[in-house]
Amino acid sequence: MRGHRIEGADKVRGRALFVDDLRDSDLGFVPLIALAVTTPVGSGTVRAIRSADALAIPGVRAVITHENAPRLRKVISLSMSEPGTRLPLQSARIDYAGQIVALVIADTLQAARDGVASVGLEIDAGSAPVVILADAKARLKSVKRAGIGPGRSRKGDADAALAGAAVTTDDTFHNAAHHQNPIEPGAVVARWDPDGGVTVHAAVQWHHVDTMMIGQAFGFGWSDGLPGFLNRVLRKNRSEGKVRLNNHFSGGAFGRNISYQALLLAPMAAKVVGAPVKFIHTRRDTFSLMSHRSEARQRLRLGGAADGRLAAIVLEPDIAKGAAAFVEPVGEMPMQLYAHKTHRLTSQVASLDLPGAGWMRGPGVAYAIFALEQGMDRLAAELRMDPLDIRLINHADVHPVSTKPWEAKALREAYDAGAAAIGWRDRPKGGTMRPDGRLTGYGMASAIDLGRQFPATAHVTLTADARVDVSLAVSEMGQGLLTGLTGLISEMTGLPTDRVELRRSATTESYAAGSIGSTGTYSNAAAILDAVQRITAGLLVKARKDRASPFYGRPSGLARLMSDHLVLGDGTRAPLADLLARYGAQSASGRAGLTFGASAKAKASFGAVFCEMAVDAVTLDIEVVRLIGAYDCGRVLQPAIAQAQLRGAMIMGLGQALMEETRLDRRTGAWTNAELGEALIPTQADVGHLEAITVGALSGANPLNFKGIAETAIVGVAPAIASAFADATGGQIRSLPMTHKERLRAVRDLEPTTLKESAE
Amino acid sequence: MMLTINGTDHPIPDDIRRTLLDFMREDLGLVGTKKGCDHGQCGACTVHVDGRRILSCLQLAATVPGAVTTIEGIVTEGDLHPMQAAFLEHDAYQCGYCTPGQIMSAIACVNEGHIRSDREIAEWMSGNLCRCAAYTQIRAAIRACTLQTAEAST
Amino acid sequence: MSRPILHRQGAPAAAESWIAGGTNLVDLMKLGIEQPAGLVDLGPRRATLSGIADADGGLTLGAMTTLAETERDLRIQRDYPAVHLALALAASPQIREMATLGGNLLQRTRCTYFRDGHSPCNKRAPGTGCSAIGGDDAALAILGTSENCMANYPGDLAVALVMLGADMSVEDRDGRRRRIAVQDLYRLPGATPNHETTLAHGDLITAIHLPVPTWTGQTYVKLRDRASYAFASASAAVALEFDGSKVSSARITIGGLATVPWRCAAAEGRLIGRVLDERTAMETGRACLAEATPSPTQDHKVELGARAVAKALVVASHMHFSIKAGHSDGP
Repeated sequence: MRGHRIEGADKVRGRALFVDDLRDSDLGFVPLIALAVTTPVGSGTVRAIRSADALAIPGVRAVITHENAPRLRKVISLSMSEPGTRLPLQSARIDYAGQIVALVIADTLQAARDGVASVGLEIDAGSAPVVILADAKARLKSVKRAGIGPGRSRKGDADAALAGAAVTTDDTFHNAAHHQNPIEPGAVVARWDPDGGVTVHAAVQWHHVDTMMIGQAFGFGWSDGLPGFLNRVLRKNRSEGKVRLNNHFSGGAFGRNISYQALLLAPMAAKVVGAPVKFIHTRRDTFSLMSHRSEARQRLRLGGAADGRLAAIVLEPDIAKGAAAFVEPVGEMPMQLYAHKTHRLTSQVASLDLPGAGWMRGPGVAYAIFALEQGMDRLAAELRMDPLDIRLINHADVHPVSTKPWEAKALREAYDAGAAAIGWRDRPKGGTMRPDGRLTGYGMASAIDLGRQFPATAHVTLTADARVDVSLAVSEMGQGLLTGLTGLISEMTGLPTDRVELRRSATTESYAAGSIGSTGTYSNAAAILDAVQRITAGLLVKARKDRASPFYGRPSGLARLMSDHLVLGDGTRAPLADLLARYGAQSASGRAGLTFGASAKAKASFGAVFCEMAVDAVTLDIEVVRLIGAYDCGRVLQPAIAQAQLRGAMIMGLGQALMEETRLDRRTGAWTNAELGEALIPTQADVGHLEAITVGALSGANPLNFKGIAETAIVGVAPAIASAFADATGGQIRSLPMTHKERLRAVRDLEPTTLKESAE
Repeated sequence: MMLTINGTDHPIPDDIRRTLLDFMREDLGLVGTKKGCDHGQCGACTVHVDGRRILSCLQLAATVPGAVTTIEGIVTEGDLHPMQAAFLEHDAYQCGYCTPGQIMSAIACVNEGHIRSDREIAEWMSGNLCRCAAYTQIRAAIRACTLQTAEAST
Repeated sequence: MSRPILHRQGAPAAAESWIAGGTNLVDLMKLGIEQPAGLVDLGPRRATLSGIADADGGLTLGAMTTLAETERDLRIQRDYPAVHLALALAASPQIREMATLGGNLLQRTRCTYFRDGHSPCNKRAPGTGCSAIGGDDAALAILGTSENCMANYPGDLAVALVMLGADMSVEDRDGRRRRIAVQDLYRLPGATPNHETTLAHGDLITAIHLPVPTWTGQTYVKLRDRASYAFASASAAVALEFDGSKVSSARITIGGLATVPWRCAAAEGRLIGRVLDERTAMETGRACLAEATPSPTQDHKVELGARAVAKALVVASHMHFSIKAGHSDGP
């Protein structure tokens, strides 16, 4: 039995190996164990680290601190990760609480733990760290760009339009910092090879960017890990290929599976002790060594005409930033969702004394659309319009800013499908008593995410015995990429999946696009398709010169591989096996996405999310009774896997709405609830009826017709849930997560009503 | 003192701080059972002791009160356990990291009889976090497995 | 880091600990907060210390009975719904299979500053100060606090047991037995937050005694930030008896918000002789929190606790009147 995924049988047997599972028989050696010592305070200087007690423990081999750590070279981080701004164990300065200040290396896990507990830290405390926006007024700076998104933009005179609008809203929304929290805490194994190169075992989302970072830090030059075509142009030395990063299964990721520092710490440790080392994150480490989604506050003012059309959107986000260059791109998407006459985006960023913030599912957009959609509901309420109607009247038929036509857009279908599934038009009035005495509420929201494409190259070989071999350093973190690409390669080559070999540990052969921003499958598939097309074109050239071939003398044209044959547009065909037997194995490198998807048409994914909620009027306990998302997904590769991605993202959106927050101590700067029992993520019991509907599958404007889905599906969930609460109780949510504290604030002035209703 | 895991006896470790989870993973190479949090807050390390589900990260190897069964121990003669087959069929996993724990918990959940409704399954499977959130698919797998078992026994 | 020794019999010497289910102790040992020189495994005594027996109309629960075994017991489900709910809503199924009743009563606080192992904490390192005061106190107590500690008692079961007025048998290290009320197990932090219970070193809880079930409405309400597998943001255990339409007896205990399971005797008294409508329930809830001393960041917790109590009162009241109205299978 295979199930829906290539690796499925191994996963249900517990045989799929994650990095910490690799044993002697898998690696060929037994690594030592390295654990981190982290600082409890968030500012100051390490005066001394006492390691004698730790070194006296049997089995402890070394304690590495900033004083004896190998020097690392500057890193230019394409992923805006923390090593691009600060490298681990290179100085005595403390930039944030939980920062690594020493590494204990030992023969066994227990000896390493004992070693960590025995290391003594002497710290000269610095001035109080600033870790939350409420304390950071003096650090807020206006920015032109916020990460990959704009910091400022305008269309017309939004302030004037707001002043003259028939109706206006003015709210400030807040989103708490939270973490990706994959269930695998993550480990990295490193071994220095006899030729001076380093072999690394890890699970990373963007293989080549991480390879390049390791190469730069250890002096191999930054050409290492660059895509072949860039490498040929840019390389300054011949050291490429010295970093052998073997990519393994990833136990979830959602932005980050392991810390960037870990990719440097394991090789550092291996260098110091002269033996292979495995660095392991403890769960607590995952909070301060890995990235997080940072805190943001957004003042949003909307101006509407009497008919509900948007006259002005004025969005002023304040965004927290940590020790990395990354900034949550809050301003990237909100101006692309609705048609509007004017807008102004003015972002401020506060650089705080925190670990580097980073990518998490739906970066920027998950926050921005929460604010925008809550604003749209307020506007609808002012105008006594249905929330769905105000969205329909503001539907952007073309891109609202560039006015380019959309490559494909099925948002109206998504609204229709979602509304029909939940019974939106026949829904009971908000606050209606359910048979069990609880209050009913309905809410809805739109979803959008950018359609991106990243550069990728793929190396494809059709072997003489008619198998297809693809080298592509992609990551499988549960998104089903292995299965999806294998199916696509089968389709492109006309060969059954059991003749498709996908090698995902390739290092320098090809440059796979990262599994980021829901772009992995699309970007990589485009490169593979390019390679396959080069191969078929090459085969056709040979066959047209071959007197024994049915293609001999046929006019040139686009050839395709279909059911074991090479087929020309005019119907001429020959068995692929015959051609390969005659001409031998055929290889080609394909590339795609060099323009990052720029085109004459605008590209985005869309969706509509609907929620039915039951609220206990006394306790304000919430049950999300039904959560239905309808997503404009483009082509669906594997229905089961697409469903899994959509549902998983919707549930993460539910977590964002109801519970996900990692809190900070304002005095030390430390994450306070840094464990899975306190930094809550959704459980099985939080999920009621869940439905993901796909629409837009038939639109066919690009060759592969894919859209990213896993990120779009988190967007819109939190505002739909917040709106359902407002519908049920009248209490308007301004801050996520909407824990009891926020719900009590929201209904504070309404309490007599709720109590009276629930008493009936 | 001996500790029985999947039918094999092992001498208990000298260091009594060794958890069952670390003992299996570090000393015995039984890596099918996963470590998610190491503090009893995620369920990834769920195994059975005398048929009851427990967390191997909070259980000292030296004080295990019965015989241990892990994900490696539920396969009989190479055949998948019906719950493993149901997880495959219903795509009840994504990254696969929490999956061994989910399956061990699901088998226990069925044996306990906590399967009378979707809501009951959900509550009694809440000790196993899945960040990929394959929750509805896990419920479907448990429902299907339950039905199958019920049909087979009638 | 010396390795602890394991004993299979006897009582713990100084600096040694009992170990039963281990769910709390092993967690704290990994955090370095508990560093016992030795452990006395209670496993060999499981046969004599576990099981549930009828006792003079009530029940005696062996202290090594697991939470799961207790939760499954039909007498618990029928006669002690607050106990049943407190168990069913606690932790996760796996932890309930491991954790024992006695160990659960001794569960230590979830205060982040206690658990982090290094912050000043009067409970963990007496005399170092309390980091929670002025820090992240979102999950901490507003009742029973002192200037030295605001760590909350995190458990569920004890809240129901204190509400019922249950007591327990304790054996000292020389094998002498005594009985104490569960309520008297817990000490307010005062000036010595490190002294959490009235047990002496080497004392062992051997059994819990549930009183004769005379209630007619009883429940446990647990509010938390996710639907399952989470500690209480606020909880309330309630038992009511009625004389006609009026309350004749009321017992109320609050959990999640206090340094110990918090009995609300004064508020209970105000209910006697009154008709329990929703407004009365809410008033009673607020009265239960009258002594709360929330910090500015904990303001909402007073209202949350009041609502937990109000909900429990409403549910218990409905239970009484629906039993009266038709179901004769009540106790």
